[in-house]
Amino acid sequence: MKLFDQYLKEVEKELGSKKTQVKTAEVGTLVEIKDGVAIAMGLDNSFYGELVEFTSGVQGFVIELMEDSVGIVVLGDYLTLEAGSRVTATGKILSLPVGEELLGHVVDPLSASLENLKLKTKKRYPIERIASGVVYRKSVTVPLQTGIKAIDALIPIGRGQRELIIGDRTTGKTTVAIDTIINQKGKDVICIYCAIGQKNAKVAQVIETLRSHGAMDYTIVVSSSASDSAALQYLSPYSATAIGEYFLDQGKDVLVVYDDLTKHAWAYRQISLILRRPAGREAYPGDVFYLHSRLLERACRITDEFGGGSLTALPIIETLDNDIAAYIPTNVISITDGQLFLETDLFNNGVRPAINVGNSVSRVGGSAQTKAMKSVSGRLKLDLAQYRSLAAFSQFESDLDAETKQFLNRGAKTTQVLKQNKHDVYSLAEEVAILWAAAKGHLDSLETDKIVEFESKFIDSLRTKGKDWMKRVNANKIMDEKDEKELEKLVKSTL
Amino acid sequence: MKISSLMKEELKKHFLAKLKQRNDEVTIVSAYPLSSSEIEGIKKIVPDLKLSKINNEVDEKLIAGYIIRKGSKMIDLSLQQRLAKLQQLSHEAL
Repeated sequence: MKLFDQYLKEVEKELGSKKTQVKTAEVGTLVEIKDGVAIAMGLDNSFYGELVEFTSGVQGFVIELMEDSVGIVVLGDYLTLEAGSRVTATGKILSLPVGEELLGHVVDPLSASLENLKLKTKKRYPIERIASGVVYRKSVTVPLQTGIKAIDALIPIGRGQRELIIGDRTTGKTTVAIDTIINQKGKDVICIYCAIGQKNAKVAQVIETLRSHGAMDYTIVVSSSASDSAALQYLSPYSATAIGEYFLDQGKDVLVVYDDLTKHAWAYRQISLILRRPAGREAYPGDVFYLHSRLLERACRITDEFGGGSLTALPIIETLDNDIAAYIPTNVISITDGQLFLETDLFNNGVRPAINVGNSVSRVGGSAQTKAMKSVSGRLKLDLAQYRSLAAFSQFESDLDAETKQFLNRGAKTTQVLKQNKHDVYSLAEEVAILWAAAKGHLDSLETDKIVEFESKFIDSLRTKGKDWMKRVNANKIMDEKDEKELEKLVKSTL
Repeated sequence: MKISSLMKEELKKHFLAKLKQRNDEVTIVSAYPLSSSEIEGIKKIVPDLKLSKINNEVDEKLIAGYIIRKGSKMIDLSLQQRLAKLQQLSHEAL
């Protein structure tokens, strides 16, 4: 009964606060409803991206302005709409509530809580925003540590970079992204995981993983599942970016993971085909490139003059049969500043993360790499490249000269060292230490299958005996001669 | 049957002209037919109506009050709309 009284009071308060206002509204009539898209006559003065309201209270936004009618994407249940009913324009551009209050929560693309909580946000941000211009930007200089040895050493990512994660299904694309989020703990980076057209079970699993690693404190999950309408799936990456931009505008570093943009392109294809826009290659509309380029262009690093901050984007693309030459993969590859190419064969051979080092690149991350990492990664890259070129033809020849054998041995050991268990992220010092041991040839004498054992022992002793060393390297991000000598002692004692 | 392009153009022109004409007209929707004195009363409140031709439509669903419509612009002063707002509000407050 108490609850009911409270409810009545609330309604009374709301009613009392508003006097009868005479407002001119812009209206139209619903004439056609297709899957998730409505066509309305009237609404002569509506604009692109305007939020409209149907009589049932469901909202939509204008996505197409035709000569005498408008195309509206319905956000929510379109089955309740009736032809002939009224559509009212709100005069507002499509926007969503943003703020610190969202941290640690799971929200839908309009930032309504999916846990049925009332999130008291104060600000609204437009879902679509023109990316920052050239004057506001500066190049990437600060690394975004993923905590994954192979990436941080060979394909480094910088804050403000756009690095594509591409690969077939079940090659560990999401795991790479999740590990990166887990590794941002205590690094002052706000993380946003945007699930587009994912299975709800998978999203739940991701959230559980993040929670169990204590990563939800600085993470927001924006989710539009496979059962949500195409409109919501289409919006969710833009919403996630808008939420990220709120933190960016406060000079913070933000990481946004888009999982995955293939399904985003599918959702947009569905909407476009319903709107009868001309279909192009693979039935995608002509502006499918712009769809992703305007999204990823919003990733940036702002100069200190304009407040600093950065927005790093990790889009994910799922390929079929390793075909990176398909339409959407080539589009996104050309937009981003590099890609991490994950392969099924490597994954099945036990190379996890299954990163194909030869095909993966990072176009700008190198300049952001720390000095400590640079000092070991150069040698590592060389070793691996030689190994790759020799490994292919060495299979046919039985007697190899000593030098070739040494290259092959070193390569095999380095490949072993780059393996890493999922959700087991390394700090910079740990990464540098183990890679240094491999690059300097300390592991050459070990048997290949003993490397993993050595590594776990080495990391253990590093965390106990080498505590001060780790602290120093993590803080200074540089390794001088004294540090190297100390490290050598540690490696030798573990061997 | 194929319509010749010339005819299409003419048809389009005709419809656009008709549409323009209709957009200039003002429609007042009410729950019952309005008398001329009532329309005059509305004109007094909304002076912009004086110059336009006024149609009166009847829609019992409004219950009371009226809606003024010109083109895609609309002023809704019906009881129906206020009740709908109340309904929405009571849902939101929950």
